[in-house]
Amino acid sequence: MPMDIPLHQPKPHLPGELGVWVFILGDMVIFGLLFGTFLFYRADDPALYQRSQATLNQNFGAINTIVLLSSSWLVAKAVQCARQGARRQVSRLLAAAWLCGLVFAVVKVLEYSEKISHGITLVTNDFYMYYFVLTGLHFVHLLLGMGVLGYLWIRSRHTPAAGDLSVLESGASFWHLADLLWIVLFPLIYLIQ
Amino acid sequence: MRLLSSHAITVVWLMLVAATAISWWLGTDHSGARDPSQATVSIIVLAMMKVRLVILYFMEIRTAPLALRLLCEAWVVVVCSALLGLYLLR
Repeated sequence: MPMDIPLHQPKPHLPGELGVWVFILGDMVIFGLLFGTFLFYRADDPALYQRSQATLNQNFGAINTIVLLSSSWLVAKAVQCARQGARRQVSRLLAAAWLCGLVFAVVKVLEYSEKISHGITLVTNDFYMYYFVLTGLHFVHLLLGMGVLGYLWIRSRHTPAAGDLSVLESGASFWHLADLLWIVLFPLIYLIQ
Repeated sequence: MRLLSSHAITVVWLMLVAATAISWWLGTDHSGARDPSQATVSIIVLAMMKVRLVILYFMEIRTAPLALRLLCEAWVVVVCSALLGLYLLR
């Protein structure tokens, strides 16, 4: 038997259910089109977009990016721990990731209420229309993701660690999707000049 | 192997945080000394590099079946080119 089996080339493994990946890819395509639409119409009146963007709190956006990146890291670690059968660790990591989601949601609500209290809404101008629609659609994903993480957390406390990993991997992939979409939305809406 | 991959996602997380800090700095620097469109191009490219890291390491597409990896990589390339094209050319 050869002793030097290449450890760095494991067999391909689909992280989660196929159906979940069809959904994730479909969602990525839809958001890709939305990102493009935003830039397409931005070119019609860059000055208006620039002025409106200047009223956004970029620090809120940046903090939320770090929060989501950290939550994704925690979830990725949870999946690795589950493979090693470290059930208690999985629960703790999922709970911490869920709390990150909660921080994101609180910051988002603060941000929205700040805008609305200044009389800025969906109909103020095109920029704010995209701002509310795109971040709102993302917010729906985040809340769904928190539901999924909550379910995985409860499950991790009651199911033997050696149980079906596919459910955890599917939920984790969906959570990473929320992270991934925010990674593009944050610069597009808050940062580009 | 397990230790290595658990180490890898932590390194990736640090890289993502660093890239976020750079983007934030590029996007909020109002000194006017720099060309804003150059900053924007860097911000878009950095964002798409971050997305690719999330896909490969957090979503574990690095070890996924080739078809899925190709679809994800294609999405990154197409969206990145489209965003740059729309920003620079339109």
